[in-house]
Amino acid sequence: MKFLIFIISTLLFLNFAVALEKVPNNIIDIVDAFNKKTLDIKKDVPETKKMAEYLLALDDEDPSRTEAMALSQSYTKNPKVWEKALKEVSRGKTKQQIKNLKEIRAILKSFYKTGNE
Amino acid sequence: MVITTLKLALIFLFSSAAFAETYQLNAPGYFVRSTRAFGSSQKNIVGIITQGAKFELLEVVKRPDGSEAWRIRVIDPSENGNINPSPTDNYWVYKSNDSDYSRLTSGGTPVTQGYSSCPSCQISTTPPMQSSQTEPIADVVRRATRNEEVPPRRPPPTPSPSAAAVRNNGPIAYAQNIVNYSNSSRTISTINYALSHNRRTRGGGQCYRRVKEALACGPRGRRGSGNCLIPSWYSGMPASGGVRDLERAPYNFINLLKTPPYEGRLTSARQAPKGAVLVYSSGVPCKGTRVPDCGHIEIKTGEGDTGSYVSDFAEPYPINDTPRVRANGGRTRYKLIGVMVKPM
Repeated sequence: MKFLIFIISTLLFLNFAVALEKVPNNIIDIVDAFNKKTLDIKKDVPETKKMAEYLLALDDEDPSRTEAMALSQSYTKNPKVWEKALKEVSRGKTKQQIKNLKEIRAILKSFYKTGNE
Repeated sequence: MVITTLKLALIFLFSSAAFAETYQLNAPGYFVRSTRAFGSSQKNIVGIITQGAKFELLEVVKRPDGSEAWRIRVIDPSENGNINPSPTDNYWVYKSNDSDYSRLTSGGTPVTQGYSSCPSCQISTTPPMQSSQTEPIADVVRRATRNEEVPPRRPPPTPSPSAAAVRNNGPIAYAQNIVNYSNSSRTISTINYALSHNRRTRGGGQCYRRVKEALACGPRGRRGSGNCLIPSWYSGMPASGGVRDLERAPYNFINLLKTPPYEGRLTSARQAPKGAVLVYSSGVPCKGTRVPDCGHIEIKTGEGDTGSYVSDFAEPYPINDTPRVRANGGRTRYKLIGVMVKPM
């Protein structure tokens, strides 16, 4: 049983490690294209999860969180899809990652409405 | 006598129209509206003009906030732009600053009038723009709303928007009044306030608010300590508007990017003097902005490559020249549009 838990934990860790390396170089284009989409909660949660994973992975490379600010427009238009995706992404994450994800969520939720004042 | 007067009036009207000035849009995109009521809640959008669009300026109406409403005749809405016939036969765009439009030809002076102008004072009726691809207004509004004054067009990949490291022309010897600014007690107080109040290592979307607090050495909405660069916090956004906000009285900063002999030589945030307020455009949309450009603003705390860049978080790099940006070939959303200092 312990061995099984170890294997599952390792797989989860490797999965996240891969996600960290997966942020594509053209993330700006990907985010801009995603921003224009009207999301469907039945179909678009996996893609939204992918965007949330990108944001989490970008957190170490780009501390400005610019892409989260850019995606705030998408969140404002599709809050239910984003909330579902963020909830699913937070599963299996470390405490620090969950903390970062909460901060990213706060930006997604407010930036488009309030700007940077 | 009456006929002669009418003839003269007609000649005046036609000559005004004939000598209308032609402008080109430099900003990413603007809504075109059937009336001069601007704002996201208005239902008067009849189309969009995007970067490179050409139009004739027919009338200028000053607005109470200092901005202007321009009545135009669209010559070319540009690649991704589109204009539908206006129910009022008039086409209006918002103008907030001088850099968004550039004049292509000069002619007669556009009519300038007060905000409460009478409609009968207008020059002439603008002929409706016949777009080759007309679409229902609802579709245009939907498309425009989706993009939020955003141009659908992406900046060209090459040359890269920043490539800050490549375009860095090396160190600049600043005049004594700029050196005085860097070394003044007010600037040092501002830098110390910024560093002590913004220790986060990641952004939270409040760069302008935090920079204004640092400039005043006081919290949002309160008077500052009086020993820093501005007397008190002021309400204003987005961050990309920092150039305009800081240039006005009583702040009286100057933008070194537009000031000889630095203009043209100063191209990178790394060359900026200590204490400079760095303003960037970003193309990132947020409400309250007429164009999708929330931008970014930060304070440089050291000379050359020393020190850090502080907004609502601190990092050792300018936002458009981070290791990720460099690894990505200089590709960034941020373009430096202001290096603001106050000569002393």
